[in-house]
Amino acid sequence: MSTLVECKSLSHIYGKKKALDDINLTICSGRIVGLFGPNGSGKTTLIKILTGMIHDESGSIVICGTAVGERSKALVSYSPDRVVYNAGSKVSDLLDMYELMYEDFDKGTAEENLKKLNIEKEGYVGKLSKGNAEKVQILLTMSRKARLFILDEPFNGVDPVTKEGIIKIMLGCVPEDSSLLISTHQIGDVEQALDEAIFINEGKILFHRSVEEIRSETGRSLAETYMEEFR
Amino acid sequence: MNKRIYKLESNETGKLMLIFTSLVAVYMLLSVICTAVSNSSSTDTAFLMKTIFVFIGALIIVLTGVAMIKRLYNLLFTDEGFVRLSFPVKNHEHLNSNLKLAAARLGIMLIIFFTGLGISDSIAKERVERWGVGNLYSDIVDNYTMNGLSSPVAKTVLTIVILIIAFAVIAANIYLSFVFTLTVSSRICGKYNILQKKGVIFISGIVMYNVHLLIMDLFSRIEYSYSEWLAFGKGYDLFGPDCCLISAIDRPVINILIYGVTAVLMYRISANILDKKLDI
Repeated sequence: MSTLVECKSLSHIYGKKKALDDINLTICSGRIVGLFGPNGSGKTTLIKILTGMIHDESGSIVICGTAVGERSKALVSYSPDRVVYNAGSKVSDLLDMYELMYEDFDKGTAEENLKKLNIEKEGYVGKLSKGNAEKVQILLTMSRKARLFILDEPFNGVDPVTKEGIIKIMLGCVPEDSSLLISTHQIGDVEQALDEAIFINEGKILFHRSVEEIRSETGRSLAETYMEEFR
Repeated sequence: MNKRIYKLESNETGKLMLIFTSLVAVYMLLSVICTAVSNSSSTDTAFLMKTIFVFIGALIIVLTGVAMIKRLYNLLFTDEGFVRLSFPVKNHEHLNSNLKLAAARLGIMLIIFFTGLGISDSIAKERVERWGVGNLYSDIVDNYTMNGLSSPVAKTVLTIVILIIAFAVIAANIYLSFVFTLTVSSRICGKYNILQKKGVIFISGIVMYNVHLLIMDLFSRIEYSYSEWLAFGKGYDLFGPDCCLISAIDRPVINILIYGVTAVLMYRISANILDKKLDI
């Protein structure tokens, strides 16, 4: 296992509020990692820093040996916490855009998966249901051969069947030497797939351990541990 | 990778820009035809017609600029930014592609626009007063010859080149002022976690406009004093008949310097914010 992400003394301030406070974090390859915490705990800020959407942080952050920038962006595939595509774009336009911009994008697989999910390639994003639009976003994100996949709240407002579909796409597309970092409040839905869990609150990491360890030490499921921790 | 971002920008804006360019072309063609068939005895009608053509043609060009700025707004202030800024390119490449393609497209439109005006003018030359840049060359060369300048043709070409550069620099500066307002507003919103983004853009825009007015007023005064100095004969002692050339190009040269330097500054600051300080 090689180190994919290494953060040292990472901090970020919004105005006067510390969104992240001295974060030290290492994520190795081949792991599926859950990032959990209450609203406003700093999950999305951490993800935005990892993906280069925020630059104003202090401390160091290295992804596959490179600082966050255009090179790291070629290694990270990111899906934000809501559908971010232009409503006027066709799904086929998005496929073309990903193919043009990412060398590691597998258009064939993406098209196959779209067919399996019964999503029209020529349909407009704005006319898709919320669940289908989410699926398209996750599908495009996961159709790259990236080293690190980051999904922020992939199950926002989707029904259980769609959620199951998204989990299938998610888990079926991660190459062996890549890792998946997933931030969600619906811990029970992903618990079985996770290798590690990071609990974060008020900008600080409370703990980062393997899910097995947490279960055996506490005798509770991850969801129960979360409830216990943040109640 | 840079080429890819240009290709993407070109693909995404191509259709809209083709429509706008065709509109300008059709419109100017219509202007030429109307000028050719208009009643030569009615100067007022010809003037009104030209004013309408110039106004609507210019409006289409301005709308093209607005459409390109809107794309940059989407990149910095809407959810689309999450897609675009995830691409493995430096963030300022998005700005570069937007700027360069906007410049190329607006340039093509302006060439069509002024060519149309020029042809209309040359058709109407004998009937109504002179208009547009079509007769600019003959106006200037007549003036320089009448004032006894040596090499009037070369000096006319020099004057026209400087005028065109000044026009391009001013247009680039205006475009970059909007870009600068957007990037600085984006920085302020990110830094202080402000959600009322449109309000921040509005206030930044007003501040920018007032700074622009102050600077231009200052340089108008300098230019006025300089013109007075030339007009009261002291310039003639130094430059002879070339005083006429200097008074024609001094303002465009000052504009190139001021608008050019501020445009470069605004571009550098905007690129720096995008690369190092952005927070979407």
